[in-house]
Amino acid sequence: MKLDQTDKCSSVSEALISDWRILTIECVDKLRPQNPYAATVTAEEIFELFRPILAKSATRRQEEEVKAKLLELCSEAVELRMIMRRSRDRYTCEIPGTLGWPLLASKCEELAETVAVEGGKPNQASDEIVYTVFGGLVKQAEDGDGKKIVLEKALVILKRK
Amino acid sequence: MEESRPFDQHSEHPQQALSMQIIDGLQQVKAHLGTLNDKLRTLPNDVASMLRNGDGDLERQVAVQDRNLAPLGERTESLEKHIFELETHKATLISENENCKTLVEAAHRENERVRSLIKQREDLLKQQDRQLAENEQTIRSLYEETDKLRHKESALRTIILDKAGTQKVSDQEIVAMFTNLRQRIQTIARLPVYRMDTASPSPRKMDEQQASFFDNKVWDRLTAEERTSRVRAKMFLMILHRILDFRLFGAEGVTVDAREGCGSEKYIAPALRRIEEALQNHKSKHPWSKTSES
Repeated sequence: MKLDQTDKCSSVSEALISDWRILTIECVDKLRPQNPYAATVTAEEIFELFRPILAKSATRRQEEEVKAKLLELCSEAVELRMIMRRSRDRYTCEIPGTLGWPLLASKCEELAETVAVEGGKPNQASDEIVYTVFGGLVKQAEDGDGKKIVLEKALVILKRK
Repeated sequence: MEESRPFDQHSEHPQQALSMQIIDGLQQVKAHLGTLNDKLRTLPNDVASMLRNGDGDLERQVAVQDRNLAPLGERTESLEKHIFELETHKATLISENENCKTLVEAAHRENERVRSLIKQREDLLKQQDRQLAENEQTIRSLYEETDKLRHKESALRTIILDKAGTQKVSDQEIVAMFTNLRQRIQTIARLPVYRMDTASPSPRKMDEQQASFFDNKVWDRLTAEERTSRVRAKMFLMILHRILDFRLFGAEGVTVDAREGCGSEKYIAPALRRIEEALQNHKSKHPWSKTSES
């Protein structure tokens, strides 16, 4: 048996942090505005970024429709994130290229699934990931000894050979 | 012990071998002397018989015998001297032998002393080993005790948090919401109002972020389908950085009056985020602590 030297300053446990987070969220929930701020801001940013490819003929009503859809999308994302944050289990959205998930498709098969090859056919695929279309959903159960379970794989695009 | 054994062999053997050789030599000399003595004893008889037998040349024969006897006497003297020397040497060797025996005995005693010291050390080590095993047992049982207490604590916390209204959501529900987001992004990216068939827009009309995303070196060589895919990916990344991978508290945008002395920050969420970050940075490193949040 090996004893770890415990730093006296570092005495906050993960469980205590998640308790604090959950209870804090519970308390500030009463202050929550109707439209979550994070959703409004993100939807607005996304709309502005893609303005250059918005059809020149688009009417004001069509623009408002896009904005509404983006706000709906971002609000749902916030709702999901809050559920993830309120959980004692640790849910994360992960993409290849972050720590522990390398950018080679063959190195992160458990996290990522290839959906296309940019500039080529599926049989021209290299092993290198160009980008992630959508991240994966990963769970670390509170009592799972830190083991990561991939609930939903990330979708990735590979470079052409 | 082992180290002193070579000393025994080297000290005893050569000395003893030498002594044996000397004793052999002495015995040979003695035998020789015996022979000479015998000859000397028989000499008068020989002379008498010679006297009886002859007369004319008897005196000459006596003179010859006398001449012969002279070197024999000298030889006997030198042999006796040699015997004396050998005896002296033998005595020296015997006394050296005694010295060696004393040394060997001393070495044996030293050996015994070292052996008993080693035995003591071994006993001490054994005792320490037993103590260590006992300590490990104690530590193990303390760990078990801690584990039991942690399980109790966990059970109690579940009760408290259930009272606080923690939402229990299944993996399936979370996965469903997650895939729904993916679907929504795809639907938005495929809206006909977004034109994926036109070339890269003029950089003059774009800000830095737009110019980097719609860079004509990339955008213009992509098919419409590939452009849609890149738009989806970018939408996802923005949502990831601002929402899905962000320490949200649901109180984003909520403000309080920025009072003097309390800093100029009027939003409360950044402060909560900083508290959580600080807690994460001071997380305990106990073996049972959960893995860190990135």
